[in-house]
Amino acid sequence: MAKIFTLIFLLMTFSPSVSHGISTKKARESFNAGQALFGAGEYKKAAEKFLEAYKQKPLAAFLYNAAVCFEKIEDYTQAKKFFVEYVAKSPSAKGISAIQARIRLLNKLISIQKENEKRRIDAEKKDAENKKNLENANKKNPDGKKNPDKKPIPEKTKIIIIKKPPLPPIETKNVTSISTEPPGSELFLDDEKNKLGKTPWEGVISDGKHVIIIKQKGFQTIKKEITITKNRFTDIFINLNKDAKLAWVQITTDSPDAYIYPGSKSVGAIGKTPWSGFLKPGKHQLIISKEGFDEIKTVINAKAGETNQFDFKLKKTPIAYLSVFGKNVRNAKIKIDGRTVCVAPCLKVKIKSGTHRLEISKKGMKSVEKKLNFAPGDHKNFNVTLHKSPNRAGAITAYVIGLASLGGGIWLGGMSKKIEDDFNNDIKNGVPVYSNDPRLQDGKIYSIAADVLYGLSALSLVIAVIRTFSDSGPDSTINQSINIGTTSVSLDPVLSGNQTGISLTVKF
Amino acid sequence: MKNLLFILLSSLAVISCDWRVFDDLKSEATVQVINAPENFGDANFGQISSHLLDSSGNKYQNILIIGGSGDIPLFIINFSNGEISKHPVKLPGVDGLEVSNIIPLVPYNSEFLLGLSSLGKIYIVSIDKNPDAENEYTGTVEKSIDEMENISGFGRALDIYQNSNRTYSVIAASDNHIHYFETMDSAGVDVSLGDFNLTSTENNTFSSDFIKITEFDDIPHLIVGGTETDTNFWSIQIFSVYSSLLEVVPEERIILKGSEAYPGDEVSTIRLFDINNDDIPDIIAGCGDSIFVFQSENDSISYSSVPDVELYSTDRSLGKSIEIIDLDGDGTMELISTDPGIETNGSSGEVYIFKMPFTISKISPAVTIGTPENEKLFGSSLAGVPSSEMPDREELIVGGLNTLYLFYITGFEGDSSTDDDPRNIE
Repeated sequence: MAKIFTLIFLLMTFSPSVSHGISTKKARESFNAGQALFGAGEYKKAAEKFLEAYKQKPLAAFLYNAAVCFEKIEDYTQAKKFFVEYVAKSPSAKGISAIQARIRLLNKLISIQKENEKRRIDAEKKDAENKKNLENANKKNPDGKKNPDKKPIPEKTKIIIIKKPPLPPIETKNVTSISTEPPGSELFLDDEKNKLGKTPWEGVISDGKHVIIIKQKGFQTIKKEITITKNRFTDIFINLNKDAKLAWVQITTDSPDAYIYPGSKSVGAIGKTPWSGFLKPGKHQLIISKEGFDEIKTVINAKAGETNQFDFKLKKTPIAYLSVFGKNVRNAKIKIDGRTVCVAPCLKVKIKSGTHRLEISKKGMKSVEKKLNFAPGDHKNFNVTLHKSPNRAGAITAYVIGLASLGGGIWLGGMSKKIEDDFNNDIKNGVPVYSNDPRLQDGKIYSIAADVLYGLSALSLVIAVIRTFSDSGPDSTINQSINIGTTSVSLDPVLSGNQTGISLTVKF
Repeated sequence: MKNLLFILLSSLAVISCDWRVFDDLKSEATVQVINAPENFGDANFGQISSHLLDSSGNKYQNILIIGGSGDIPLFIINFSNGEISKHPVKLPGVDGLEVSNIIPLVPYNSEFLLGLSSLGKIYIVSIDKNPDAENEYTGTVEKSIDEMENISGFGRALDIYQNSNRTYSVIAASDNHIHYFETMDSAGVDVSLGDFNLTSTENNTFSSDFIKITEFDDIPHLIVGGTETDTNFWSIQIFSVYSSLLEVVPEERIILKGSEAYPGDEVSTIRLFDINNDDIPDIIAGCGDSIFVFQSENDSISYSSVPDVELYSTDRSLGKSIEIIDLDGDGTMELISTDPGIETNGSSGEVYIFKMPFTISKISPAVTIGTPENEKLFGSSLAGVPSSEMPDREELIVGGLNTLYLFYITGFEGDSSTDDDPRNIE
């Protein structure tokens, strides 16, 4: 009863158009009659009603139901015919593969049915022939005498019937019709990921409660709960209201897939071009960004109740290319202006043209950097040689020893000073202090030990500082190679004794 | 990098320590420790000490002789010129000395002369510088009394009187006797011996711990301190020796003795000092528990049987050693006494300083000097040496088990500042 009320409520809420209503009404009446006959076991009549409904409203589900009815009365040929039509009309319907399998099974049943019929006819023919032959044989002789060799009546020919394979159980489908005014709205079931299509839409929705979502630009998005009742034709009509509070905005770029950011990139993109959607009326600051193109910062004015179309032209950002190879560069980080663009060796890495700081760094190797100017379209190759950075373990050890010694020296020096102060205080306060006072020996030992540690500390720290700043190995180098087809020419600085120069290397 | 290294090294140079400051502090110590010389061994250096006399009978203020029991049992310590120098005294032909008493004598033909007792023997020894070794002295036994080893405690107390004819009268105590050697002349011949027993007025036996011969009105008197063994109280007997000690007339004796009111069971030492300025020496006796002062009466050799002053320190046995010196240079003397046996924290011995003159009858110390760490028998001996830069005052030397301590009594009235400390020890 509640489901009926729901249906009535829906029908009352959304008023159908007159033409739509007449055909639908007739279709619904035929469908409901067909369902009633099907329930009463009057399958043939039910099939007729479903086909009648189909004439009023060509919904594939009506054909499906008719096919089910024919299958019930073992009119497999008709059943197959309407299943085939159903598949043709709804190729993407849910469970279509099962229907196709059923069609194959029906083909088999039709064959068996034909074979069995043939066997029955052959048997009947044979029996008729046998009867005729018997009658001829038992006829009186011409002399009027009875035939002494009268034959007995032969037995009927046995018919061997091929057993039919069982068909899986099947039920008729319900039918749901969803239409809107104006038509052409996007229709989603339960969530916006499950798009059913565009209105008007008829099809099968599983029994139970669902939510339908209807969206159309310029109109308020509708989310409604519906209840699908078994063996019922559910007809839903929704009249969409125009959304006067929001502005419908369409943003396009001449090169698609540009990200659209609302004012700041930090909040994330609202989508990619082409993009359409509602925005609050008023001015909006937008950033339109696409790799390889200059970023556009603009302000649009979206007007409520109108379709606001904005088209932008993206200007290509000048691109240059960078390749890095050389000695010991494998796995080195290649940074442009502090940002890692690749891990060496790098081949034709895209970068923006202009002046950049190229930095190549690798753990355990001396980093090298160079300021470079890339013209649009440039492809510069860099031959890099990374040399090992000096080992700082010795320096660190020396620092540790130096600082530990310094700490120990300060502690011992403090102890020595404390003893000295104690001794002087005793003298000052009139406490007898002895020339063999063990504090004197202790203080002296502490003092000497402190100085020894200070010395050790000084030595260690000097070594540490020297080892920190000393670097006897060669620096890493970065040289630009000149591409001449497959031949590369490189200019390298050469240091030899007191002489300096440039070496030219040509690689074929 | 050079600047960094410069800063680093400069900083370390600034915070570095100068260990020499402790050498300086050592010389600023208010107590200079004088350890036994190496060849003295650990043999009682510091328990026996005495000043020496010059040929006029005056005391060498700056010179002490120390007696012990090592290979070289005698050492002369000179405190002259603000320095402390130690000089061994070798005694050829004398082995195994264990010095228990040193009596300074007036030298005749040598630099120093002294008498000493050791293990039942008594020696008169003249001492001169060793011409072959600048820092050494050589002792020559002028006289000796030996073959007394069988007498128990012979030499426990000793005094020697130099007669005008360069002979020596020797009085020594054993456990139960006083032995008198009347004519021990400087040539070492004709030594006549005699011994006698002293008894108390009640004829109680008497054990002598202290013997001293001194002159009252140019008449030699014998002062004997000891214990009345029957009552176990201290006792002092004074009598003249102008005739012969072999015949002591009891009625001529002055006897001072202890009682429940003036307890003490021995007489460790007696000092004679004219406290009341009547030219008659007053008696200051260390009697075990306290020091009792007997002042002369009627400007004569007579003393009240009751002490005039009692110097005490609670739970201490004062009087093992007594020295009277002007420590603070104020013109009046201080009396210094010791209790070497009092034990504190594993050490033993204390020194007590009493200010003089005595204005009340029962006086406690003005200053108590505690035992140096790990020292034993601190206060076994006492001596005073003049300060080289402040000659109007003396500094205190206290002997321990095997060490001497030269005290600059810092904080005691009269010490102006440690900056004035004249000592300079190597």
